[in-house]
Amino acid sequence: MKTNNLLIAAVALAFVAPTQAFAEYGDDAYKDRVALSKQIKKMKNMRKQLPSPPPSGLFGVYAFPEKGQYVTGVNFQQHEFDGLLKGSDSVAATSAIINNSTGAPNQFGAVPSLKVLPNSAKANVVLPFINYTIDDKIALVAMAPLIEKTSNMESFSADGSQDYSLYDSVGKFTIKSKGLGDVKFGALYKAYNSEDNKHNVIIDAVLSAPTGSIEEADQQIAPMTAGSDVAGQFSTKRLGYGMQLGGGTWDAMVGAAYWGKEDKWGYGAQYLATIPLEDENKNGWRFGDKHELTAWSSYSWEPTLVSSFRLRAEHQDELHGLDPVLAAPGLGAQPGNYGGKIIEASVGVNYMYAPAKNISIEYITPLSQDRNGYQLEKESAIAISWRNAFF
Amino acid sequence: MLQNKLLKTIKTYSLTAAIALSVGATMVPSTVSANSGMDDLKKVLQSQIDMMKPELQSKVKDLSTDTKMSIMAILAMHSRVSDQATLRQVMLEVLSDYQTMSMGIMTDSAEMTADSARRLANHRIPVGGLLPYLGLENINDGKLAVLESFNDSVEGNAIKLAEAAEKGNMGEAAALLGQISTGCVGCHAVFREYPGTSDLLK
Repeated sequence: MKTNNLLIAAVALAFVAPTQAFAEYGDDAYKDRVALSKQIKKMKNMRKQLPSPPPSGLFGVYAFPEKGQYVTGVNFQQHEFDGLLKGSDSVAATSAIINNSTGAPNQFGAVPSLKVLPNSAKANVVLPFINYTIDDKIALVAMAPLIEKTSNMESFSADGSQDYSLYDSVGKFTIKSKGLGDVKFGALYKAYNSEDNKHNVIIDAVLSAPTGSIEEADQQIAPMTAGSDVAGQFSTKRLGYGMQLGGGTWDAMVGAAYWGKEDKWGYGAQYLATIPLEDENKNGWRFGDKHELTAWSSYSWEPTLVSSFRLRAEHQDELHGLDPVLAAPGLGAQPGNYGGKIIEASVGVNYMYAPAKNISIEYITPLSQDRNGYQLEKESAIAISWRNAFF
Repeated sequence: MLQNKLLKTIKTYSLTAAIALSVGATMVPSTVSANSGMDDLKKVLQSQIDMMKPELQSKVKDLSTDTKMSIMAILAMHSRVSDQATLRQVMLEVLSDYQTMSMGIMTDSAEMTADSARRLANHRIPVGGLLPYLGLENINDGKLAVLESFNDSVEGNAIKLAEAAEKGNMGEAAALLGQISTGCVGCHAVFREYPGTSDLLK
């Protein structure tokens, strides 16, 4: 990048919404110039109090310093899953799961093993958000996820035996759910800022409201069972817990984040726990407690271009309770097939395309997965954020 | 394997990113794109840096964002950008304005004092900007960190002096004269060697 562009890019950091004229001589023109210069100085000071742009998929790690300042935007995430896991091992559907005697156990009915399995899945989340500072210590945050989940499924014959050739596929189909997820709102408390703002601690206290549907249904092919006259045909049934749009409970999302910076480096870490505040939702279940720990480092190549590397670890307990409507030999209907551990690594880039306007992207890939029971294997995720700051 | 997966993912989502960018761009408030003051400032900067030799451009590139923003804040205060005047010529103009200020104070002329003070505060920016005249050894964050405070001391106080004079408060104006001088001397001490010396003298 040319040097002149660099300097111009640096300048861009300093400017936000107010329009000031770099004008000719005269009283009004002078006032405009003074205002422009003051604005640059203000932004220079502001810049000291904010972190290097954090990775795209991160929330709740910083707040603006003064009342009335805020950042808003949209985060888009796509998570892809492909293949099946038993714990941390990849397994094939026919050999390890639907076998009646050695396969994955079905908790419901007379069919001993699972007969309806996902082959792959995708979840898209569009997440408008706002982070609004109400005083020098507290910022309010809110986000409303719009979710679309798609799962490619396959039903098998329930006539399982040791002869795998008998495990005939009854049919493949796709199930979908789409709509508003659980809306989140709360506060970020600035617990500590060092004098030079190189070390900062934020406390996260957020509530997740049960606004997402937990009764999503779609057409599914029933597994073949002896004497069944609906076998192999489509019928509309409630989707598994993972395909629902929400958790059905009020949840507390509490944690703490540290961020720091030194020269062109930024770094930080965040712990976040998602704890359901109710024993069960109206349908008799709840997701397990979730604990996430993430740490990142970023480097500013140019004032407008920052790259990042991040590690993230998650542990989630098993799903508690069950929805009686979901009693079926499907993988997603088994409460034991939820939760577990996953460790992910991600690389990201943040680009400030206009003053105080950032677009960032983060590619996330799992390093290890140790899931409870049988679950889809996570392949990758991507997060794209558009952040728009108002000072 | 991982590389292939990454490439595949990048291809798959590039369209999504493009859409997100376009949505973002359409939502950018018009106040930013219409920031004519900023646009003018950019043009001035662009032309100044284009004039610099590569070694100076390299030094400027290495400056921190804070330092660059300080230089910007100073530049934003000035509307008279010369494509001919050297820094020495500009400083002589400043000296002339300083003397006129003094004359105005001594003669109780509010107009003369205020006009010259404002002219001093909005002094001409020399061709290529300030940096080419400061010496390569001074183009670093440590040295340039003082520039903003000296600038405030000289130009900020010149504006205060003009306002005091316009209110008829020549006593305050006279006191500010000393503070302006202090700023001048401080800046010279950092960025200028003793003037007028000759290396032909033993």
